Amino acid sequence: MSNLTQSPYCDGLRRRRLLKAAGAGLVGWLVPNAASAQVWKQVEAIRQIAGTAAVVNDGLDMSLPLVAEDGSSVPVTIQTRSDAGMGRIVKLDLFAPKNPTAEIAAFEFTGGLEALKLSTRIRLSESQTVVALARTEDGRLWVTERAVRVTTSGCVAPAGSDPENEMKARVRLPKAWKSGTPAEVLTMISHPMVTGLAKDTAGNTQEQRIIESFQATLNGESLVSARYFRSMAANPYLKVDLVVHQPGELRFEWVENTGKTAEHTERVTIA
Amino acid sequence: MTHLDFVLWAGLAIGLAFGACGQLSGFCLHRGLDQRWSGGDAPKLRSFAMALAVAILGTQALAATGGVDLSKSLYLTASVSWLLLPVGGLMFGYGMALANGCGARCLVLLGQGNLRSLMVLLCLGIAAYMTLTGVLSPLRVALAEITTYHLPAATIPAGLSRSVAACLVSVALLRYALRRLGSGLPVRDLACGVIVGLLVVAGWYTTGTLGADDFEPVPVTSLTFVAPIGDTLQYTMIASGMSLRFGVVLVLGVVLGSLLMAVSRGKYRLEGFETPEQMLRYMAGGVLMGAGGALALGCSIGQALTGLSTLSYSSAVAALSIVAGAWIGRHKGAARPTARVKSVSL
Repeated sequence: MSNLTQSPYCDGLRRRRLLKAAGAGLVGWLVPNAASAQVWKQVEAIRQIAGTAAVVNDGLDMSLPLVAEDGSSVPVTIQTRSDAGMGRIVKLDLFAPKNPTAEIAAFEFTGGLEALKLSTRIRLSESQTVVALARTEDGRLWVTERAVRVTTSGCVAPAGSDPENEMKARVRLPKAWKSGTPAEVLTMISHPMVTGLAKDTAGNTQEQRIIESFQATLNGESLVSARYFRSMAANPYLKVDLVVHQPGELRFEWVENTGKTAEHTERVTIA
Repeated sequence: MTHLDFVLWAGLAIGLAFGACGQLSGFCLHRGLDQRWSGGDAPKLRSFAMALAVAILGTQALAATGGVDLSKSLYLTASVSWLLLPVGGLMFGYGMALANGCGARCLVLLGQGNLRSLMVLLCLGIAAYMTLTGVLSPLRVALAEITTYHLPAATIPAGLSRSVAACLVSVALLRYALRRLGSGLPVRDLACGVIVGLLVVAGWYTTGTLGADDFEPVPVTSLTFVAPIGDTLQYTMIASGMSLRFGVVLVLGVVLGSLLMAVSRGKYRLEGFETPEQMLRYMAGGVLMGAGGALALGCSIGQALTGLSTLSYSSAVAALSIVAGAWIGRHKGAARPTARVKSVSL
């Protein structure tokens, strides 16, 4: 089907994944705990970030479906447990170690967030353990992992590509802000996030074309900024609890790797 | 309540209504075809024709007024497998004849205490998942890839021609449903047909309008049972890592609706298999319906009612294949044990 080939990660990778699926599933079933809380140590990209910092396994929670039928868009939510005593979180990195690009996204929260609650949608090329790594102000690292099984049928779903609306931004803000209280901000931009890996029907590989960065600023000061990689799902989506202390102009900006940008501005008034 | 909660509650309500209605009238394409092929009047087939006419008119009206974007549904994709769609339809129809009813019918029968249906449903759900994501999925994907056919269009062009086509098809169906035969009109069957048709429209409204959201849209769908029966089995096993969806609450609603209706009418009665041969036959029927429904992207409700309500060309192929499969099942091979007839109440 044509939409199979348009759908990134659903082409060459899928065949390999299908063959491996049965075996991988069996191994995962036989040794359920062998991999838990340790996968990140085997990932070079994470080890580089971690360096020699102290790593704490307890404090972050990750929600993912146990089984994802649509590997091209898997919802993930990261949040802090209120009793973990983590302090302010300044960075969050997400990894899918078995994807062609392990990095999914890297978020920075200027000034830090006391309580983190962030949801996005990611691509998973095969069953694997997703890793989230947060850094607090004091330099400690917090890690959480969760295994997810990816099955095939998602690739049958129609591809969501919509060239006319590309780079169209959508933002949903809380109806009323309270100074210093976290409030949910939803953002999404229409974009196919072309991985540069999948072949089209003619057998050509399209060049990678992705949203590579996102930033939200209030009166020119950054609240959250992010780097996105091709393991982010199409139409990059971000739901995050943010804290504001003053009214003003909340500006969102997305940048494509070609340099093209999209912007969206909203007024923030404090009740 | 979020929009997702609205969708789930509406899905449950639709399921309850379908289950109650199915229990009351015995709504079933298979029985309709069986009556038709036995000669004489076929009130169940007229009921199905009524449901289809209402579903087509209602769905097209809803789509025309912007209540649902049908192009986002599974049925209106222009690339289909010329092999799997008809073969899956034939398998489903044949399985339906073997198991003496489709997946939706089995849910209704289960609600009134029929344990044969439980066996059919288990086989159906597992076979559907084997085909969609399990051991048979590599074969399905490989075959789909080499047999893909791009239709010039998925349906009739929007506008006047589509409206005219919807009206013509519906009028023909209504004429069949409402024609008078010796015994007069089967009022209860026709009324239940109208309700089932409206439930298809309600399903589209639920996922297309209640479920619409810029950020988290619900997949656009309506009454369909093959994958949802598999989803429901899966949900019961891994609910801690899976969120509820429309199809799952729909399936649960149908069983519950039928149960409530059966109990209130004093029709609840436990029934099981009479012979191992009968059990094998029903199990084979369940497997064929599950695998066939997964290949044909829907069942006798999902394609022949919901799919056709979108006026999709591929749904017409699937629906005709299901009917053909049921014909083969009835006339060749799937000879029915005589003991069966009396044990299927309603």
